[in-house]
Amino acid sequence: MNPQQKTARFNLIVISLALGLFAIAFMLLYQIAGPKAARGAFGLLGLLGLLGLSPLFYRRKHREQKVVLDERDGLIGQRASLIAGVVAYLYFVAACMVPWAVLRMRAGMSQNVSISIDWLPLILAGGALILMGTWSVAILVQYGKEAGDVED
Amino acid sequence: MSKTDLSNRIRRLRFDHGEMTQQELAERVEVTRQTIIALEAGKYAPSLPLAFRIARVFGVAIEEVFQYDEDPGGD
Repeated sequence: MNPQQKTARFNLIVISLALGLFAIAFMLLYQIAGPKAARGAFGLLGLLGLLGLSPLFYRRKHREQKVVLDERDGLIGQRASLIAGVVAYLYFVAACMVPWAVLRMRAGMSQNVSISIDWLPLILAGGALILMGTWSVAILVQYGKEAGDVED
Repeated sequence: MSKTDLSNRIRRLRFDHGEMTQQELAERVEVTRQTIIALEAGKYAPSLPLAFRIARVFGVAIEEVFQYDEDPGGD
């Protein structure tokens, strides 16, 4: 498994762990202490900071190991970045248009429609998660397609 | 990556050159073994510099290693 695959797997583990723990904590706090206390669960999303450790996978373990990533890995990375970019763009389009459409329909012709500005950092963080998650899945899927052809 | 229109004789040439392993070839052309595997399986079309490096390792012309099928489904 090369560093790119390790990074992708690590990203997915961290994202799943952070979102899973956040969901559990949010539901528990909501049930026990109410909606205001449930906001404390957002602190668990700080676990996503672990994603910053992924460059450690690119260290060379053995000096004799000359090539860690080559042109094919570069192409796989580029394709994954393109897919992730498109998916993130679609996410931001939906994040802008869906609330607008829903609130506009509910409000009828009224101009007095608004959403809390607290949604803005959440939308941004969601976009970053979508970007990293999609990139990671695209990496693993592309390498996974080639698995099973090992022969010497 | 999907199959390409490029076929190659890398596996044959490896065996003709003292049963060179995929790892040995990968080290000589400075790629990973997985790339050699993908090349032999026809799942990856190499860059021109890599194709030249592979041909030079075997001491043959690039056309003797790689063949481009211009009309794979045609007559």
